[in-house]
Amino acid sequence: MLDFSQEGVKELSSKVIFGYLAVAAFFIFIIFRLGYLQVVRGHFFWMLASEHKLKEIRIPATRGAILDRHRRVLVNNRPSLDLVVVPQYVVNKAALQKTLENLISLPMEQFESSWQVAKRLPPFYPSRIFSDISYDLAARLKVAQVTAVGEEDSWDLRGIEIVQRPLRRYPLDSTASSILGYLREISEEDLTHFQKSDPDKYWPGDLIGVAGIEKQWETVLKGEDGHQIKVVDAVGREITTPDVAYLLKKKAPLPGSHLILTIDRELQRYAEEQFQGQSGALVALDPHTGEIFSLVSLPSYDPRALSANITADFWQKLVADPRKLLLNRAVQSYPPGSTYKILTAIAALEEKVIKPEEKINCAGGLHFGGRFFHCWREGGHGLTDLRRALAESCDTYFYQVGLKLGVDRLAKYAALFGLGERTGLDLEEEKKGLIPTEAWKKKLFGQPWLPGETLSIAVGQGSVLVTPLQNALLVSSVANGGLRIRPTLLKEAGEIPSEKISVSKETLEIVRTALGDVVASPSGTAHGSRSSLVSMGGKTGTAQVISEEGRRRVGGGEQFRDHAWFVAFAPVEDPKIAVAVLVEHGGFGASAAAPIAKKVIEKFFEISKEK
Amino acid sequence: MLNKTYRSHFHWPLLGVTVALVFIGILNLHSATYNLARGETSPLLWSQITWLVIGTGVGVFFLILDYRILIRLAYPAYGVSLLLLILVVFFGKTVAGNRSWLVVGPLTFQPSEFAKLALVVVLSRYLSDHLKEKGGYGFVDLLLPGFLSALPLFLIVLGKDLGSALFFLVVSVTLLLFVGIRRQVLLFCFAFILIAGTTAYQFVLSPHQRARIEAFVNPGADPRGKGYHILQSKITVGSGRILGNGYLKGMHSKLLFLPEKHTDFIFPVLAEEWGFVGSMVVLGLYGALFVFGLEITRKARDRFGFFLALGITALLFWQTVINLSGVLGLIPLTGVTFPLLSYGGSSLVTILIGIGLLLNVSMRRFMF
Repeated sequence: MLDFSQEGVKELSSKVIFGYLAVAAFFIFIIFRLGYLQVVRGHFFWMLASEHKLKEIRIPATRGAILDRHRRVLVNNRPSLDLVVVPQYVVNKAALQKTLENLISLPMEQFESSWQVAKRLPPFYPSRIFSDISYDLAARLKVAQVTAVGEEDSWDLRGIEIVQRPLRRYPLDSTASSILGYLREISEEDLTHFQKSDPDKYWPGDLIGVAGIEKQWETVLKGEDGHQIKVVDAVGREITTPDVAYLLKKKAPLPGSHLILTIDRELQRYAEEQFQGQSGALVALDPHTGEIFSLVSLPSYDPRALSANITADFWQKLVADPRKLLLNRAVQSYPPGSTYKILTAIAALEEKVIKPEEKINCAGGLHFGGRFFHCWREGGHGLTDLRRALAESCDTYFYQVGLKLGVDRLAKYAALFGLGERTGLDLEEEKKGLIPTEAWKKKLFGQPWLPGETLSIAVGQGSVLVTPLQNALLVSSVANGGLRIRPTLLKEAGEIPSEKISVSKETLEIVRTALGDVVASPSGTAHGSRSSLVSMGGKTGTAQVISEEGRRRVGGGEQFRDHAWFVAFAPVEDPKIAVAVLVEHGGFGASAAAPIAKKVIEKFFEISKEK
Repeated sequence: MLNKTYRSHFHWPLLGVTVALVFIGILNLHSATYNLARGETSPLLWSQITWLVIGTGVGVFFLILDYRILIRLAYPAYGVSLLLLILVVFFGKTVAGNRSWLVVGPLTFQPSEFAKLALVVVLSRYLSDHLKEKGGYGFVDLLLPGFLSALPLFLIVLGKDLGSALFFLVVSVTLLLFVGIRRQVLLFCFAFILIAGTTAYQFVLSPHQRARIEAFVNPGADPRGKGYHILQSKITVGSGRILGNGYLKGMHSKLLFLPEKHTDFIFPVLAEEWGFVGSMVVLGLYGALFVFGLEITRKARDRFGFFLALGITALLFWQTVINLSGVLGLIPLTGVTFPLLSYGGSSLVTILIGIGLLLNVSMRRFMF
């Protein structure tokens, strides 16, 4: 039924060899062709393809805001526009430079310096030429860019882009600037550091906190940058036709977390105002929880001036300013003056070198080691017990007590109250202060301790150094009945356990009553700063910055005036606030520092009543 | 259904290569049509898989059926294919400038694909009936097979699908060359094609066809216009480099710079994602397919089987050559798709029938 046409099949089969040859020839051809396209010129085509396709634009994350204890803004963000150059898309650099000069009168040199920076980065990376440009300028550039269509145009803005970037906004101007800190463009060292620990989180030109809270909580505030993918053609023009729309993927930035501080915005501002241009520091905190209501350091800088377009010159001036604007004085070390008598009194009672009711005669000073140690009251205090010695700040009493104690026993109590070490407040610039001991002197100077030096230490002079923050904590511990608290600036940091200081209740009670007398007693040193609204306890201090002999030599210049101190708590019966005030070269603590503390305490209770 | 001898002579390697290529084809089509933004599989893929199932069924049918039945069915099948092509001329649907689709209910198919196979069958029948002992075919001998080839070719040109038409010519010529053609006749034909070609270029080709040839000669002249396709294709292939960009990561093709990436330009998608190495592996499989086809041709037990196997192998081979040479910028683009890789139901079914027939010829080679 079917044909069996088998004749000639052998002959036909012999021709199949041509088929094999054709297949082989084609394959050799294709191997060479693909080899040429993919291997020899692969990189070229790959570059060509890359240039055509995706451009990843980073969308900076909005930095977290910093709020006060009642969630009022201390720092937040405002939108700003930056002029950037993307070297990859610059076709004619000279023309671009000229266009920018003509259009927005951007100095040639400024463009050149940005260009030098840009050249060290990947060509697709946008480099900032100018920060925070006006909306008007941005609009003019955009219009010029849209209307420039071809080679024949007289201007060339290819490679220029305007990008949005959030910058810091300071609604309170310079208030609290020393706590908040500021941002600067990331340094190359930091960049290398982060590139290792947290790749792609930071890029050149990013802002990073370099002081205060901004530095301490950088990683929390920073957030995570997002990115947007754009499709561009070979000449860098964006393709936005609907068929590529689905490719325009976007990863939204993750904004940084807000930080809620323990600071009270209103109290902070009020406290800063009370310094009336004097330099100094103030720490006001809750003596039970360690929450800092207010932390003042003056003079300070205006953070707005640091938020964009800082020139090296401006920066140099800021750093070199003799007023030391960048210093946070609340955590710097100062001689504590008579405020240190609080500690001497506690040590003396605990070590039982003196009984509370035991009286020492003050005749205006003490002869010791061939030298006369003055009491501040030339006429002397007469027979004085501990309570009166504190209230009236009798130096002679504490010289005697100090001699009995010795410097090392004093240092032991200083350590119990956390003096001589950092408080644990998260501020990097915090100093430790200095609590001298015999061993310390031996080690540092190779000399034995002289008993006369102990006299100075007992009244807070000599080499002892305390920060305003430490002093506020010392008075807090007296006020709260012997708890060593951890200061904090973060509202929601969680309960930080306070330690019980191994000092008897009775001792602290005696000292607390005596500190009440400082204000309440008519002969108390701070009686002039008593408040009609609230009972206050405290201790004045007047710290010499230069010895008596030195002062006689150089004369009484402003820079050699004593530092004025006042540490306080209120109300005496149930303390709600503890304050340490330091006025640099303010003179007497009673007249320069105590009034500030009083006003701040009154303001505190006024605010508390409102809330 | 199939006895033991059939099973023992079954060409397993050919089946294996086919399955592998079908699998690669589906994977690659998935990548070519994948919607990156929504993470969605294209409906085109499901359509292709449906056609694959249909094609496998029909292919198996043509495998089981003794191929010699086609000797009798050759002319009727050829007639039906011509009829369908005529229907296309009058009722065809136009896609991308080519009128080559017929719509029957839910099905849209391309009769020119099936016509390829019908032509191979009818030529096999004619050539096995008219084998010359000495000297090969002269002018007169070529008239009838020439006419058989020219009819569908003419109908396809009417539908403006010049690429497919040329492809028909190449397959017919391949078969005729194996029968044998006298030398003078060959030389004459060569000269004729040269003259006819230039004339056609000037007067017959449509502007868009001329543009493709111009673009081939000088693709850089107008990269956004006429040369766009071929340049984009070369960029896509080249950017794959040695190891490729990875599956679903061929951004150049994904970004729609590459046109018709699921049909004519399917190979660049593969080349971009799998690079030189991957391309070579896949092309190696095609090489094996052709070699197995030729082996079956060589071992065919009768003349009809010989020409059938040769014709199908030529069909696959030339389709690959024409498409690949086009997308790699070696010849002008023709619109011929890549066998098994390109999207297209009619083409897939046709190829699976073809491979079914190849297996059929191989399986029955020792049966008397």
